[in-house]
Amino acid sequence: MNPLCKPWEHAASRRQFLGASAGTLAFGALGGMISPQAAEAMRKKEKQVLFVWLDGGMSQLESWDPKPNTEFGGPFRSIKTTVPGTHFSELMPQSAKQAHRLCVVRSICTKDNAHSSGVARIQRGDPKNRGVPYPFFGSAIAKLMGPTSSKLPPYVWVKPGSGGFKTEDAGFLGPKYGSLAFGDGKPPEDLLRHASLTADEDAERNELRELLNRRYAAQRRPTYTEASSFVFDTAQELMKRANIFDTSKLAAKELDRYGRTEIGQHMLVARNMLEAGVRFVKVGSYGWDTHGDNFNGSASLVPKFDRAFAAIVEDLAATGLLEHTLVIAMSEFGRTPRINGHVGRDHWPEAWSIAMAGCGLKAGAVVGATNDKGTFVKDPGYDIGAVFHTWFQALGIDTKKVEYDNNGQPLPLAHDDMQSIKEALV
Amino acid sequence: MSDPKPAAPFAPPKELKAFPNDRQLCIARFSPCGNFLAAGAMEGTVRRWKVVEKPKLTVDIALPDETAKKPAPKAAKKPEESPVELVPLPHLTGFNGWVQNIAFHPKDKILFVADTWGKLAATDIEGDAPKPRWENATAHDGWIRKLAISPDGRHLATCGRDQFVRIWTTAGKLVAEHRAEEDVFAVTFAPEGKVVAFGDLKGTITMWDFEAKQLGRKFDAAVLHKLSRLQNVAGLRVLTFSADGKTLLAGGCEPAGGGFVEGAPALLRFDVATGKQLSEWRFGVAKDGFVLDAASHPDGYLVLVTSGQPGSGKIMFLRPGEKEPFFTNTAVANCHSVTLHPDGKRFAVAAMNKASNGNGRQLTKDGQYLGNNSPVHLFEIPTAQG
Amino acid sequence: MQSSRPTALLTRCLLLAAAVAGATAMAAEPLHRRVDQLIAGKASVAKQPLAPPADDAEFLRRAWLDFSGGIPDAGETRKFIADQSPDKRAKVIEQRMAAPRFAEQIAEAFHIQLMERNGDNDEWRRYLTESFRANKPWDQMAREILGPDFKDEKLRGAGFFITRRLEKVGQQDTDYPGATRDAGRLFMGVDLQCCQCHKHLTVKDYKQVDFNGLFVAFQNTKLQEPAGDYRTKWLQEGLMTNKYEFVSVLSSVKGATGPRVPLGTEVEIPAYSKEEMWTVPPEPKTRKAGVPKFSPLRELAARVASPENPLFARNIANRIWWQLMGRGLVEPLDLNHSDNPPSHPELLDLLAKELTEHKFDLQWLIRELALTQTYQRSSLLPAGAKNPPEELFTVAKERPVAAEQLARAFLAATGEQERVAGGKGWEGIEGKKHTQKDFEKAFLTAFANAAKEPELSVNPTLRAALFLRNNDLALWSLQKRKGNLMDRVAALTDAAQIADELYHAILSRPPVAEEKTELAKYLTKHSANREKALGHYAWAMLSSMEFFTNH
Repeated sequence: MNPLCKPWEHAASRRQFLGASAGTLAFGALGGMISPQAAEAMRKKEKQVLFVWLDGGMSQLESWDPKPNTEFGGPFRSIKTTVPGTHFSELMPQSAKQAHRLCVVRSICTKDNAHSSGVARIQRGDPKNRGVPYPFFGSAIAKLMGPTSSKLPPYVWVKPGSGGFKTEDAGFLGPKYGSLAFGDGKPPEDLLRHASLTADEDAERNELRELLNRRYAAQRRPTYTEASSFVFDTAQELMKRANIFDTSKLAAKELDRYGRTEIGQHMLVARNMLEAGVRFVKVGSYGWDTHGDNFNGSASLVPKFDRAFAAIVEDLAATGLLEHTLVIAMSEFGRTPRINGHVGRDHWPEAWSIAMAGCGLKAGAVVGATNDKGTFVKDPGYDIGAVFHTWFQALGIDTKKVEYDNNGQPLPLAHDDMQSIKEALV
Repeated sequence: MSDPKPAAPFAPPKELKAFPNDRQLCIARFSPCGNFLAAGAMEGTVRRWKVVEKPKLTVDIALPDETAKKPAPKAAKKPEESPVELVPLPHLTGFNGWVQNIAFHPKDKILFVADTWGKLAATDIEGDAPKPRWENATAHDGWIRKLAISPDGRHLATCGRDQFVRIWTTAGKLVAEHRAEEDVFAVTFAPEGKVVAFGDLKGTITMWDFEAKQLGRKFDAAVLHKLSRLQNVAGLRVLTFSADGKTLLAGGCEPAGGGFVEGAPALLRFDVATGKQLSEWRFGVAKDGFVLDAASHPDGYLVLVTSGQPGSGKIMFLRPGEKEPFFTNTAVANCHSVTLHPDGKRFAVAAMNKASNGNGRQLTKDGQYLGNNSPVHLFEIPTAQG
Repeated sequence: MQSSRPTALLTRCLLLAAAVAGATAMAAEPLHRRVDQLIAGKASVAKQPLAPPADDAEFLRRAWLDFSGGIPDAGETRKFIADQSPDKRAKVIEQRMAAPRFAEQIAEAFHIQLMERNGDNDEWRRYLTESFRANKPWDQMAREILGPDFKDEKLRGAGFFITRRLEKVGQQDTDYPGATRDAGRLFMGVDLQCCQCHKHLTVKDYKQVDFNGLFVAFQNTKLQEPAGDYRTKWLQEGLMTNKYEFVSVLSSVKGATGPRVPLGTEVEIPAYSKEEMWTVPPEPKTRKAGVPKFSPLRELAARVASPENPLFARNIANRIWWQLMGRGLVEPLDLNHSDNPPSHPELLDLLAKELTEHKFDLQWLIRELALTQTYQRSSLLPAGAKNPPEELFTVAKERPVAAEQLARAFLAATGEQERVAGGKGWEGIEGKKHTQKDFEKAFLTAFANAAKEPELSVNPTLRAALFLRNNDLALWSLQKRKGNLMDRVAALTDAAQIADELYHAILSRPPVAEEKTELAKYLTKHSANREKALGHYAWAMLSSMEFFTNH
């Protein structure tokens, strides 16, 4: 027989199918060449990302940048945090206790005040227009860093609503860099082992398939068969770890801590995924577009986010993962200081906040500021392009040196005229 | 616009004047003496006005027939001269966040004020700098959502985001408290003054005999709540008993969704003895929002105001036994509060200015960022004609 | 053995035949032989051995997948292998191309290629199928697709190519640039997207005017809903009186163009008087738009799909080649330009020229290519060849099997096709009957690419792996049911016979000795649970690369 080559001999070519550009990152390139124990140890140092997306626009004034007792400040108080001199809205009591781990940029100033274009524009980093759709951050990381040594899919999205394979995030990188979405936190269709099969049967028939493939590939070019083995292996890994995704098995104690809410549950699933080694986990939450009744809305929404977010930051810190995990929480824009007739706040890209933590970032930092009324940023502020530079930099990807190759068209990772936010980086 | 009932010939109320104001208002109330109007602002102040009747210089000899023929006056059409003026008095300060609730003592000249940071205070009414009587900065932990005063003037009831319902003497002494299961949005006294009804985020309304410290009947107003995605949309805003105490009205919004908060303004009427719902009104469609305030006219009807998506809002007159309001005004939008003058002939509505919304920058000519404000619209209810 | 041994006699005969048939004077030999010569010539220069012909079973499966869109059943395979006649391959090609299924298969392949999974439509499919059934010349089809007649019942389906691309998605602007790009890519093999705003940065042949000349014609249209004479969505063309002006965002250089064939010539905008402008003048009172006399779309369609436009013939020749060989002579398919020459320049010239002379008869081209040794080569690497360059075509390249074909092949292999197609005599899963459509939908979800993503090569995905492993429909087919594959093999006792049945039914070939032994051992091990074990074995075969690819 002609057994298939050892996997590590083709580590690079196999990984192409899930998207690591070989050599970009040491750990990616080392891939299969190290012992399982070492791999596990290395994995613990592999960089990961948690990206919390609050779709519709969380009010900065009711969260990270309160302006109590001012014209547009709203009804809420601000509270002290673990960082002397830094205050958050009273709607964020738990995050206030994690402030020493956070890095909040309060002078985000972006360009688009419409959801329809803004959601994608922000998540693509709003680079200079080069006629191609840029990838969302998750797809970018899937491309640039690939899966971790866990072999789990590099870009997973825990979201309300439908799940499945979401390709639109990938832009010009192509659909394989899209996300694997867990709709309503549940695994995608066909992820769990079919009820008619025992684990042993499943493993045996899979070995049979590999045997047939080896024979088939013996005298053919190896590429496709390797790709097939790779995706079946990934499927196997996912199925093996189905417990990570099974929300019915989440511990009651932890659920209480994260909050028995949609976002609480999804954040807990996200933590389990990060612990299992998923490279990039996006947690999505919808319904933040508080054009009406913003204050009662925020009073209901913000604490649910606060609890879940603070819990995951605390847990990541406790396990040491925070050191290697870039944590981001943001929306497509903030909300107007002006309070409209429906006691709501509208879309406001001019002056809003993004909260981050972990990998490569200064802990306990507040970067930038808005004016006293919170209407505009004090200094020129930072556009999303600068934020993208910062994230790449925090993950060790030098945006001055690395670029995309779109069928021969070289494209910068982020807006060419912008730079990373130095005060945010270690 | 108007829907005159044959039983009670009715001439639609007309707007006398809109009094500008540089801030947005949460609530407006006439004093029982009729000489003052006070309003809680979306800042830590109470705005005050003296109500001044202008002497009539000419005898109004307008023929009744002519008046009747006139098309129903649009409230937006402001007469040049108002027979009544609101003369501003200095603000009351020292409050935080927003002053969402104020209440006058039914007999004594005292104003009670509650803010969103938890402060409850009592103050005199008259003069440029009325004397504070007492204050409690931590009456609640945070937002006091409602303040009610008992008809006999002995007690105050407050409720808040801290889930507490508290009863105070009008001298500021805590009498009783109850911790509810949710954020409490409304509280009101039953006419005899020993029982309150409070309603929470999820639309559960509970009677509470605060003297006996006993919870009583519950009313199901769950239609005024919706879990929309992550958001618990609270619809309940107003609770009020009928004068005889036999029925309880719950007003607010039947939410269709969060975020924008769409939903139809709604009013539910319950039988106090059985807890059964007697009727429900829905005033409009999803953009119309909330019933935000209600006042009982001595003639037995309710004056209700609504506010929804910027630009939508109504003033309605409703008799509790009827299916539809007999008067609806849509000319003034985003009405946040209504107060009846004790003479029963006038009422004031605090409503937000027009064009109050919009995404992105809205700057004045000199580059200032534009805020909103709430003019006070003063209306007159014409005397019924034969 | 048949590698390259043209006999002088045969050549002479063919020359004579060609002359008699009135074919071009240059036609020395049938096209398929000249193709093989060019391929062999380059391989020999590169010192790469040619793979031997595919064995009968591999050839038959390939021909069935390409021309009938499915796999042959066990009987067909056995019969073909047993057939001793020397021209049996040519006969199979002829039979498959003569069968009614052929037009449907080519229509399906063109649908996938032209729509790139961005929507489907019954009228469009009917148009394609009927056109291929009538062997309509490709230039005519291209004109009908690019300059659609929405009032003609038989032709309006062709308009879907453009109308679908101009449908608004969410709040985005109508994607005129996207339609422009696709027209260039799919009908001329030039991807002009990067020239929308400035000259192409990496391709010197592509200029901003090349994009904009095509763009003006699309931008001049408005998508309209079906109404009155129009039963489908249709395009209303506007009045064009002036050239379109554009500016390079890089150099700020201005340009202007009327409708223009990319890398070709511009159509003059006629200087009509106000009276002459309209075929049907607009009615201001009823606000009914007029029909301008000058139709940039039709003018361009006529000039793009023309023998005068060299890129048109080269593109379709390259795409048909790709369809049958798994790789274009020009790669990527849509980057035809002078700095990206074909792997075999003479060959592409030849194909384009011959196709033009054969009046864009695609059936003729397909038949000629199917008769080549290049097409009929084995997918097994020849002894001594180490990773031979794909562009030499010395070995048959594994090609993707479209999701629709996989669904049909899966049902045929498991013996469930009739039951599902007929919808009779089975209970489905959890009491719900599943139709052929359900299967196709499930397979499309699992195996088709995302919208706008060309399906150009074999592409194993996690989604497909999970589908095969755990999907109800996939596993349903492997339960024993009256008359299906699992039923048939359960009735057999001899392991060799079982292997024979399974391999013929699923992989369309007889098993080799080693495979028979393996299966016998496997069955012995699972004698207590033989039926289930057989299901697993069949599953492994159905999930294997051998089944998954067209090899």
